[in-house]
Amino acid sequence: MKTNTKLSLIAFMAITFAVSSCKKDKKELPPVDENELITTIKLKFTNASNAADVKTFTWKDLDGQGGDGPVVDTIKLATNKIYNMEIAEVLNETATPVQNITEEIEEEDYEHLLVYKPSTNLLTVQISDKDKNNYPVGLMAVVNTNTAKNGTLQIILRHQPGVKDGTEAPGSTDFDITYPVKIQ
Amino acid sequence: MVNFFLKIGLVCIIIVAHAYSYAWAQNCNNLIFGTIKDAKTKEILPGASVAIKEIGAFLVVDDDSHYHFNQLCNGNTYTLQINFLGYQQKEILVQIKKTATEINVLLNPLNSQLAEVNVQAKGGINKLLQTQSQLKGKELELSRGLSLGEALKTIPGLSAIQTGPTISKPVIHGLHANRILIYNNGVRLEGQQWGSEHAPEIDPFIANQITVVKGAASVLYGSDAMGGVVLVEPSALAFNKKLTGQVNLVAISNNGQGAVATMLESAVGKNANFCWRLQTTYKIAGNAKTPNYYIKNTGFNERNAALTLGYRQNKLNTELFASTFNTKLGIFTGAHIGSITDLLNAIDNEKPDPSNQSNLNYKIGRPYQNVSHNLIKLKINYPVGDFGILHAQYSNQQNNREEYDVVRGSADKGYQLKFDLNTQNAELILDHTIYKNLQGKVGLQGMFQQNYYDGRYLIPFFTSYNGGIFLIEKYTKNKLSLEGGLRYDNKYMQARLRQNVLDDNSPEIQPQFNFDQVSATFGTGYQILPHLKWTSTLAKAWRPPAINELFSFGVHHGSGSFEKGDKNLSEESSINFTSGLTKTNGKLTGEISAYINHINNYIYLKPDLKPVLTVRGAFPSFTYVQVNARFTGADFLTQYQFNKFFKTSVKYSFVRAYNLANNNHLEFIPPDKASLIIQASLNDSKKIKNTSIDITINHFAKQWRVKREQDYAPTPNAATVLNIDLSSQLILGKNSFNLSLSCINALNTPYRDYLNRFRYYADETGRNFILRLQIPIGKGLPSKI
Repeated sequence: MKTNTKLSLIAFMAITFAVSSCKKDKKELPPVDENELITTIKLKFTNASNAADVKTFTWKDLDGQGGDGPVVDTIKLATNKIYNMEIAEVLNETATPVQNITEEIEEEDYEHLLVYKPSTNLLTVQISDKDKNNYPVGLMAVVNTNTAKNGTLQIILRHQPGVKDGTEAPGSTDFDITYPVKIQ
Repeated sequence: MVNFFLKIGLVCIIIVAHAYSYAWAQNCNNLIFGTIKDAKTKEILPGASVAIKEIGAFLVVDDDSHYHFNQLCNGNTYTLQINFLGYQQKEILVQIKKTATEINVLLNPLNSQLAEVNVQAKGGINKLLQTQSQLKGKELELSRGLSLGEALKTIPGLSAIQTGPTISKPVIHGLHANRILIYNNGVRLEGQQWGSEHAPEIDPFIANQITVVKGAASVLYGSDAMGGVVLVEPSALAFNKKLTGQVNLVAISNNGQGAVATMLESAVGKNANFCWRLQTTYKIAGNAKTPNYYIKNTGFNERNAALTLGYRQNKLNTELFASTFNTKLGIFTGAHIGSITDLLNAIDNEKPDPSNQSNLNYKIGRPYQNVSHNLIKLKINYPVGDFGILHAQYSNQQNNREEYDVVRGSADKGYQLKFDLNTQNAELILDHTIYKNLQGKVGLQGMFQQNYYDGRYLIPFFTSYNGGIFLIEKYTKNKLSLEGGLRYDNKYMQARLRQNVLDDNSPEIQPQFNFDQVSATFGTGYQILPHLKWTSTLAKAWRPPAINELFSFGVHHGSGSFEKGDKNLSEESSINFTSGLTKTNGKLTGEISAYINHINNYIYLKPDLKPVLTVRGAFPSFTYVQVNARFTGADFLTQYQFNKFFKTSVKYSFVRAYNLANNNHLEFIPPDKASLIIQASLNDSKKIKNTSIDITINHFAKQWRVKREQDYAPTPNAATVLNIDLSSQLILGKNSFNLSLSCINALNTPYRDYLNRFRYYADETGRNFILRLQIPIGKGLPSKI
C-alpha cells in the first residue's frame, strides 16, 4: 500500500509536468482589431452660390493612438460666403479593406451627434440634417463666413446610444479633432 | 424584489411563531476550553487539533496551545478528540454542567508502534509567526452577501481598490493586485489579477474563515506575496456527520440584491471513510444607489457552485474539490469616457449627467463583463512514519473573461476583448517534526500558465513556467519560538505579439524572459505573559514584472490615460520588517503592529510630460517605470470589555508610501482610517441568544499627501460613516437560526473614496439595509466555532 501510494504520487507529478510541457502553442495571433479606431476624417465644403467651388480638408492619424502625431489640413475659406458642409468620409485606414465608418454613423444617426465649436467670431455652423426623432445629426451643415480671420474649428462626434437628447452632454466621445481655419 | 423581501418576512414570522410554540429548549450557550500539553515535559503543543465528534467541530490550537468551543448544550455529553502528530490520540467524554468547563489535556508521546493517526492532525507549521488577522464567526456572518474585497475592509490595515460599487480588490498595507496572493481552498488563485477592474473570482460563501497574512510571505506561498496573502478557508470535511447543512438568505435594500447560498454535507458508509459537501450560491443585484441618485448599469448576477469529495482509508486522506464561479457585471455607463475632455467634464459636475442616472432595475447593458473561473483540485495527504505528513496537490484553473464595450452597431457584435488563461499547479510538501521542538515544511511547487486573447490588444499571448523549492523550520522552547525559511523560485516566460501591436502586417515576435531570486524569512515569537505575545518577522520577497507592466499599449478608458509597458523591467524585490504585540485574554485585548517595507525596483505608472494626441483628443500618457519605494505604517486594534454587556473597540491604521527617487508620496495609497465600535449585548433567554447591537463609526481621512498635480481631481474629502448591526440567534428545539440586520451608511452620507477608481464620476453608495438569515439543515449547529 505504502510503496504503491508513493509510486503513484511520483508518477502523478511526472505526468503533470510532462503534459504541461508537451503542449505546443500553435494558436494564431488574432487580427488587429483596434476598437472603434478612426484614422481619417474628410470635410467637404461646397460654395452655395457656385457648385463648382468644392474644397476638401483632411485630418489624418494613420498610425492610430500614440506613435506619430496627426497630419491636419488648414481649412481655407473665402470671406462673406455661405458653404454647404458635409462630413464626406470617416475612415479607419488601418483596416484592410479600409473601413468606412460614415455609413455606420448614417445608419445609426439617432445615436450620434456632431458638435461644432468654432473659435470666437470666426464662422457659424448651422446643422441641417435631422434623425428619426427630429434631433440634429450634423453630418451636414451650413457654414457662414464673415470677415478675414484666423482661428480653429473643433469637431466632436458624440456616441449617445439610447440617451440622445439633442445636447452634447450624454454619451461618450468617438472623435474630438481640431482644424486650423483661415478665412481670407 | 418586493416578492423576495415578502418571502423573507414570511420566514421570519414563521420562525417567531415556532419559537413561541416550544415551551422549553436547552441552554446551548456553554463553553469548553483548556490547554494541550505534553504529559511528561508539560510543554505546550501548538498545532494539536481538537474535535468534538458529536457536532463535527474541529480546530487547531494556537501558538499558546489554547482551545475553546462555545454553543454547547447544557446536560449533553460530548466527546473531545485530541490529536497531535507523534502523540497518542486521546478521547475525553465531557458532560456539560456549567457555563464554562475547563478541560486541560495531557498527551503522551507515541512509542514506535504507530497507532492509527487521524491524518487531519497537522504536523509541522500550520501558522506562520507573521502578523495575521482572521475574519470568522460573527464578523464573517455580518459580511455575508458582500464581495471578498468589501468583507475584508473591517480588518485593520486592509482596504479595497474599487471600480464602481461592484468591483472590489483587497489591499494589504497599501499593496494590491500583483503584490497580493489569494488562496482559494489551498489553491493560488490565478485570474487576470493585474487589472484593477478585475475582481478576484472568489465566492466568500464557501469560507468558514478568511485569514489574512499581513506582510511579505513569499517563502511559504511563493513569489508575488510581497504585500501579503488572503486565505479563503472552508471548514474541514466532516467524516462523522449525517446529512447536515445550512441555507443563507441575504436581502440588500440599496441595490435590491438577493442572495441564496446553500451548503449540504454528509458522510457516507459505516466506516466514515467517505464524505461529500455541495455548496451553491446565487446572487442577483440591480443598480446601486448613492444618497441622491441611482448609478446606471451597476447591476450584476453571480452563479457559483462547489463540490468537495473526501475519502480516507487507513492513513491516506484524499480530497477532490471542484468549483465554478460565474458572474456578469455591469460597469457604470458614466465612467465610459471617450476622451480626456469627457473625464474633466465629469469631474466638474457634482453628479453624473441625468442620462447616466437611473432607477432600481436589473438591466445590464454595455459596458459589462462576463467572467467565469473553473477550478479542480486533487489533494492527497499521507503520513510518512513517525516523521511527518506528505501532501501532494494538483490543480487546474481555467479563467475566461469577456469585456463588452459601448460600440457602434453593438447589437450584432460580441465581446471587444476576451482572455483565456489556463493555470496548472502541482506541489509536494512534507510537513515534518525533526524532534519535538523543531518542526517544519519542505516543499516543491510548480506552475504552468498559458494565456490567449481575442479582440482588441491589451496584453499578449504568453506561456510561463514557474518552479519553486522551499524549506521552513520552527523551533519552540518554552516561551520562545524561532522560525526561519528559505526559498528559490525561477520563472520562464515567453510572450507572443506583433512588433507593432496596431499593425496587422507587422511580424510576430516572441520575447523570452527568465527571472529568478531567493526569498527568505526569519521570525521570532515570545510569550511575555500567558496572554501577551510579541512577534517579529524579517522577510525578503520578490516578484517578476507582470504581463501588463511589460506589454501594455493603449488607452485605458476607465481612467482616461494612455498606458505603455516596458519590456526591459526587472524584478521587484523587498525587505519587510513587521513587529507586533497581541493580547488575547482579559478585559483589555488587542493587537498592535508596525511595519516597514522597502521595495527595490517598485513598478508604477509614471506620467510622461507629453500628452498623446489621438483622434479622441489629447490623452495624458503614462509609462511603467521602476523606482525604489518605502512603505511604512501601523495597525492598531484594542477592545475593552466593560462588563458582561458592554464592549468597545477602537481600530486605527495608516500607511505612508514614498517614492525614494524624489521623496514624493506615492499615488493611490489608502488614507488613514479610524473606527470606533460600541457593542451592547443582551441577556440570553431560552429562545433568543447572542443578541447584540454593534454601532460602528468609520472615519476616512483625506489623502492630502498626494500633490494636486498627481491626479486629475483633488483627492476626496474626509468622511465619517455610521453603520449599525443587530444580530441574534433564535433557538427552536435543537436548531438555532442566525438572524442579523445591518444598516450601512445609516445617515445616508454622500462621500467619495480615494481608492475607488470611479471617484471622479459618482458618490459611494448610500444607506443600505442588509437582512440575513441562516437556517440549519439537519442537526448541525451553525458553524460558529
